[in-house]
Amino acid sequence: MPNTSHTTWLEYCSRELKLATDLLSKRGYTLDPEQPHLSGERFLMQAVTTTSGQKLILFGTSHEGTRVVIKATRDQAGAHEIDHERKCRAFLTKIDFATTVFHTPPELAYFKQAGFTFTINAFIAQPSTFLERPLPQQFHFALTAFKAQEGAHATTFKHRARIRHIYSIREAADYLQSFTDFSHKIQHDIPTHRTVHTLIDDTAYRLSAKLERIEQYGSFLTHTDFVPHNFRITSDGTMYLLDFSSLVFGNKYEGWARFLNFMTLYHPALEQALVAYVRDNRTVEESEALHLMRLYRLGELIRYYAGTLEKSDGNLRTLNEARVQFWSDVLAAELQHQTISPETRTTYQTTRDTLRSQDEQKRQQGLH
Amino acid sequence: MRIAILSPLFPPDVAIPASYVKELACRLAKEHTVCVLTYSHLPEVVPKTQVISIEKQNLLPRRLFHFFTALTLTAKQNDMLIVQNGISSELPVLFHSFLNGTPFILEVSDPKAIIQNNHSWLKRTIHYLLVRRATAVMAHNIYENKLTKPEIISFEAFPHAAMEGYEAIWQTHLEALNRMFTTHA
Repeated sequence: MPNTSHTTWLEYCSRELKLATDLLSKRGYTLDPEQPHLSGERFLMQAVTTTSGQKLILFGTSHEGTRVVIKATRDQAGAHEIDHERKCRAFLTKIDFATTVFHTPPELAYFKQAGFTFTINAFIAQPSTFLERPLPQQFHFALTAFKAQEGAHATTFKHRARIRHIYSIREAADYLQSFTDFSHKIQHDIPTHRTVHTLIDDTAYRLSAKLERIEQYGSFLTHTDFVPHNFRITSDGTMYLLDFSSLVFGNKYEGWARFLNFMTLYHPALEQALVAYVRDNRTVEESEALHLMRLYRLGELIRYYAGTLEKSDGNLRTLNEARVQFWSDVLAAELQHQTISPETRTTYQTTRDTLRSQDEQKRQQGLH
Repeated sequence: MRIAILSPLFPPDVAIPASYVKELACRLAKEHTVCVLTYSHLPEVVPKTQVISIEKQNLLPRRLFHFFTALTLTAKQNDMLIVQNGISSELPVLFHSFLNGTPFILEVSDPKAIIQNNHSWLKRTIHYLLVRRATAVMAHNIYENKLTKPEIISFEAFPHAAMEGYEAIWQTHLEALNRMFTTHA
């Protein structure tokens, strides 16, 4: 059966890219001949819990020779996402109850033309990817970023009044409701995976039993997609945050959880160092909050990959089935306060590298 | 001795004065009966210490009123109050000091709160009056005096020297506070 989602995405990219290229060239921007964020598995990506529409993410150069990142869309939800991201980003630099200044790539242009919404930001060059850095540096940068996010804590009535029209606010009940939605979606998308259903039910039970702990560490600024491709570190050690639409006020460990789950696959030593940091320097309650948020985010990952199955075929479908299994294994281990075995990780990585398309392999180069 | 610590901040607030108050309560509770009166939604637990929290998400006047009411009850049950500087604890304590004679030590330890006070003549005046009415004032800078626990990093050597220094500074700090309790209670 042909993969219609992929075909639709390729048609969308081809049509929109042609129009966007013309409009951008009139304003002095030249697009790169190769656009990695239009290829590979990009067509599957749709944020699960944040605003997300269809958009093009393009690399190019301005007439002055500045490298730029361009977001362009004619999709209403995509335009809304771009506008929302700009609001979040603008407010981020002036939160009066934050203790840290956040660095954001300079916005060079924002305009609407011929039905398109464009936002053009300076490309932030980095001397190496995050994962190429030594462990102590990775640890330092990640911890500094988490502490910076935690420094914005909307505790009072006045703080909440300031943020509620800009950022989404997630409370314990919202997390539980989202998880219930994940559970229903998983049951719908993979009805025969009884083991996964049981894991998800166990997780839902644990989350519902510990709602107060989730609530206790709530109202913190947290980047819900805090992974290496959403920040860049320059040669002078300044970290620039990207994807501001993923900023919410919620449990302070939501961003940690996303990062640690990512590192379970990509760099377990860093994951363990950060878990040990929370255990050795913070309260038992905080370690528990981190554990709960990791469970929540693992449920979200499984829901995401379960949802991709109907949009994929061939090797990609086999790969997405392996992903559902792998993240279920990680969830099972986390429920027991354990980690997956190195063999489970390497077996999955081998499967993934075998099944990934060439386009996707190319897109992944230098991404993390 | 029965001691109540009054603080604008308390964990899960992440500011350094918040963790200082928790550590202070924890250490004082080894020798005294301690309670903490603070603004929080769901405060962290301190062993052998009662934490009374005033809901932070209420409007400011309501928060202050509730804090004042709770202070009235707390002061009656304690021999000494330790007030952390910051307008949200200073204002209720100032009013209360005219109604009740429970001695109180004003700890001026949070320089950020002092800076905030400097932006407003009203806050400056409240602070000035509270200093005048305090039984004793203890001034120290929480950001500089190493009362914050050294961090343990799993892939680095355990910070033995820093931990010993931290314990020694706390020892000195508690001795100074205990001397004040003996003198002024």
